[in-house]
This record gives sequence, structure tokens and C-alpha cells, in this order.
Amino acid sequence: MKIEAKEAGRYLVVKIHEQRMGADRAASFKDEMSKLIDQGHTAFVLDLSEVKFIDSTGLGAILSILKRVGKSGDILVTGTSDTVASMFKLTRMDRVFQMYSTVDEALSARV
Amino acid sequence: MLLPKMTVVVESRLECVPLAGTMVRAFCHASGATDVESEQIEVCIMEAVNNCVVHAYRSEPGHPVEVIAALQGGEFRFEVCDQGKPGNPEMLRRSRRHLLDLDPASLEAMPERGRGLAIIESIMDGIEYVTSGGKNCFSMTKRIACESTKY
Repeated sequence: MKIEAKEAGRYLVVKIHEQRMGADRAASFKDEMSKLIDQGHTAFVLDLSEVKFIDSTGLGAILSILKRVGKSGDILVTGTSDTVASMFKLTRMDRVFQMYSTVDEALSARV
Repeated sequence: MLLPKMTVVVESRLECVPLAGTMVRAFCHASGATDVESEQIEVCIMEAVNNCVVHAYRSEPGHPVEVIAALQGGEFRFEVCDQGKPGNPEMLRRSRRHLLDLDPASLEAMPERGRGLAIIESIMDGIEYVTSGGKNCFSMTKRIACESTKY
């Protein structure tokens, strides 16, 4: 799982450099995010602009990270394609995560 | 008269699952399904193949997962078959759609897994699970709104 992390105020912007977030990538995603949480980060902007496909395991992995950071943490989801957004909607995950079109929009909303 | 049909066999490894999904998506699109329909079908195929790899074969590589896709009369029929541990047909008969009813206030209670079947139920028109003679097959049907139903 290729990710790129960049600090933006209290948030860590994590860009997923993968086109697919399926069952074969979910464990690796959780490992990478766990490392960042262990470093003390609890507020994330997840940039999914390169992700073209996600399945239930990929969604479950993102949910597990939200549960890990808990109520004191935050995960904002940005850049979802129509296909990925439809999966969030189908699984009602769009009710659980704050979703924005771009990273800038997400960060502006949280200022 | 030959009907559009394809068969793909992948090994029981999670990294092989996208191949099955991609090929079925391409078949569906070439057979008249829209982009949205094809992508939704791809999701369902991958969820079903994931289940074979993880549950039927307990994530053990080296086993076959067979995916058959066919189109007839404007309806796609898909079969995802394995030769591993059979699933519980009773469990599959019960709808799993309730797993999609999330209460954002109850984060801790939200399951991280198990939504695959609920997703398939939401997208497909019909599902069936049959196990016989050491072979377990999960079937899905989807009617598409294509203009031509020559098959």
C-alpha cells in the first residue's frame, strides 16, 4: 500500500497512491495507518482521489481506523470518484464519515 | 445459437480477486451493460470471490475459484464456485441488508466486516447458493437496461 502523508495543521493528510482498495490491500492500509496513529496522529484527511475501486473490506479497513482514533480523533474523506462515493452511499458509510470533494475543502471546513 | 458467456478461474489468493472482477466487468460492458452497471457487477463478483478465498478456502492459496458470466434475454447470470468448505445456506437465505443500517452514534457497534453479502443483495436482482458434490456455487442475476436484448 503506497501512501503519502503530509501535515496540515492538526490534520495529517494521507494520500492513497493506489487505484484499488480491495481485500488484498486492506491489511496493508491498516498497518500503514496504525503506524501513523502510533506516532501520535489522530486527525486525518484521507485523500482517495487516486482510488477508483473499493470493496467492503476496503471500507471496513477505513472504518477500523475511525474506531481506533475514537471520539477524540477525526477522519475526513476526500476526492472520492463516483464509483467509490456510490460504495460509501450503498453501505451508508457516507453517514459515518464527513466527505469532501478536495483536501482543501476539508481543511477549510475544519478551520 | 451461441450465447455470450465467459468463464475465468482464479487461484484462491486475494491478489487474484481483482482479475476476476475486471474480466467480468469488461464482459458485461461489452455485452451492453452501462458503466455503472458493469462497475456494480464488478463489486459483487469481487465480494463473492473474496468470500470463496477467505471462507471456503480459509485463505489457503492453490485452490480454484471459478467465475462464470452469461447473458440471456437481457439478464446476466453469474456463478462463483469453489470446492472448499461449504457455506451455511440458511445464513445465506436470511437477508443481510440490515447490516447496512448504520447508526453513526454507535461507532463501536459497527461491524467492520460482513457487508459483502448485503452489498450483493442491494445490487443484484436475485441470489442463490447451492452446494452439491463437493462444489459450492453462489449464483447472482442482474437484469440490465440495455437497448438490445438479442441474446
